Amino acid sequence: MLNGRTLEVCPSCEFKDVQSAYAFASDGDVLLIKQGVYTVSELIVEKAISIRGEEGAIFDGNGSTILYIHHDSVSISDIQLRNVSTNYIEDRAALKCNNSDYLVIRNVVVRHSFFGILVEKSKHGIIENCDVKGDATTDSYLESSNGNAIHLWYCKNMTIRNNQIRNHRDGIYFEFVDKSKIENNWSESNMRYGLHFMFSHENEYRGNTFHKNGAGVAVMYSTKVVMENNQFVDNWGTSSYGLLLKDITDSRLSENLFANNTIAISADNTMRCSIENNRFDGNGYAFRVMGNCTDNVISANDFLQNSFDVTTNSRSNYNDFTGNFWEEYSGYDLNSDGIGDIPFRPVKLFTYIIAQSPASIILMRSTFIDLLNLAEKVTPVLTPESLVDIKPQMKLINDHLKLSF
Amino acid sequence: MKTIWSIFKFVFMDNLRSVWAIAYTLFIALSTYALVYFTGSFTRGVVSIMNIIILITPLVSTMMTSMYFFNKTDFLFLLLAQPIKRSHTFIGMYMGIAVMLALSVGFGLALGMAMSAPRIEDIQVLLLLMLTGVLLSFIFSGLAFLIAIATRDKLRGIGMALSLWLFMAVIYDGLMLMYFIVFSEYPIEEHAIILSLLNPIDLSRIFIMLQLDVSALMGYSGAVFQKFFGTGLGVGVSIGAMLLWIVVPQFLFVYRARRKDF
Repeated sequence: MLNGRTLEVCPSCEFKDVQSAYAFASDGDVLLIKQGVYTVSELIVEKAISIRGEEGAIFDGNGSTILYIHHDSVSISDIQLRNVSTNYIEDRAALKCNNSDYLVIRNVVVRHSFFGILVEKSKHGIIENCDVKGDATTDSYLESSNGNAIHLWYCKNMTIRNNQIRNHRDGIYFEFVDKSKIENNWSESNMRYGLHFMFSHENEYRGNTFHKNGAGVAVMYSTKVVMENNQFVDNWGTSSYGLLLKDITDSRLSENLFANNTIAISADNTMRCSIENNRFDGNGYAFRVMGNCTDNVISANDFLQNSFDVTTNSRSNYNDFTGNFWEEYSGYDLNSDGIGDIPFRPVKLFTYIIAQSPASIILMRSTFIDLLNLAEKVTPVLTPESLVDIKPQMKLINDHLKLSF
Repeated sequence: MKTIWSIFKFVFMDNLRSVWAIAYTLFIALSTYALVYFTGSFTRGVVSIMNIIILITPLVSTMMTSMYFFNKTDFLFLLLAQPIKRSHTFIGMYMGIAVMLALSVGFGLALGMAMSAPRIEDIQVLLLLMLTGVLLSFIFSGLAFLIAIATRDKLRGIGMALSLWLFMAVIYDGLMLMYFIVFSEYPIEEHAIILSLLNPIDLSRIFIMLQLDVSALMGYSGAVFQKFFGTGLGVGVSIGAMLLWIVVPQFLFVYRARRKDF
């Protein structure tokens, strides 16, 4: 292992600016940035160095990309990066990394930046304890004028954890990223998705919170995804989802909390996924399943205080809905084994009526509608007959899943 | 005015002494308490309490008013023989019953809530329930009064009042739904708002629903309804509509009573 020198950078040091220190540095050296604001624009890092800031060390991009990293084993830590302006020709970012394996980005604060951290074609990197906050709000209408906070493209074995992400276009964006771990991040108030990934397989998402994002979380065209212990909260609006699953296969969702979303999970062309031990609390629609979803197992979930528990656009059902707790269940349990003796049908006729004539939502909770729903429950005509929970649970299953804030 | 007051006082005290007023109050108090207590969750409890308020309150109000009116015809004839304005007689009687009914609902709900110790944030919904309960009592008591004056015999009067309740509570929504489905190709959100303004039970339900199911109302239609019923103008218009439902039947029954040969 290289035993590097430490090159201090400050107005009264040997190196007055980052550029001259970098020019002098060789592999293994540490650039220690003392307090102060340094203008750094488009500095290309092609040596395996560390850049570390002391308290109050700030790199100002003056509009352009701050650091281009084009080398393995580069580490950036404890620095604030700011002022990277919107550009419609190139993807400017506070940190733009390309072909940088074993990259470490730690305790970095990014403010007023087009893209935050943009990593391409890299492996085994870590992005942790970063705080990325952009200028977008969920009311901004021009998606193209804001970039993503953490954007990964063609990466593998990356770890992204304990980051705070706010006010960008997408909070975390993955495209062609495999075998990576995304843990304990907080993604809030992004104008589009809190988390967005496409063609990204075998990734694990644990302990993340997605709060008040413009359109919630969207995950698409991916396989073998694991999502555990995440919170999807207050994703609110006309086209907002807690979690939008599109073309997701062989994945597992468990111990997640979905609270106060317009649509907690919307599943489209999703197959062989297991959705178990989750809690759906106070959502408009808890689970919307399209007719093209097959072989999913929805089991041991709690459905509480949702306006509608399950909706579908199809007359048939190829998913298994056995063994959930439904707050609306009104059956009995004579032998006290904790399983209701009467099957429960979570799809209501009224959701079909709303789909046909949206204005009829004004009749929600009316006695007439209750009667219609009841009649449909007794003899299903329009709702899928096989969409039924034959073992509805009598008691809450996942009472330990509570909002952590 | 003094005659209205004394008739009101008599009818009110007469009702207060009867068992049913206390029974009704206790029924509402106990069912409120039980629903919140046993369902464990507030939303589900409120839905059930709402069903009591928007179904039972109008039913009890119509039935009690009709029964009282027809059972007290002797007393009415006695009053009519006195040198008292007919409008004073009938408004006094109506107020006596309606205020009693409204108080029963309001007091019953308050008692039930106090027993179930709600959280601060739930109180708003509970106050809304109370307001709708009180308004519905006045409305349906007035309508029953109008029907009772307009008909001669007891059976027909009670039957008509019951039909009116059934129409408002259930059938009206069915007709509305039919209208929505037939014209689903057209933007009928405004029509939906107007149609619901015409039915006090629907109005009450919508206000409570807006508190409970905000997240389901995120589509275009839902947004239109929220924009109307969620703003000051919409609330004003709705409360105005409810008040009209109280005032107009009073004018009608006073008008009818003036001309009626008892």
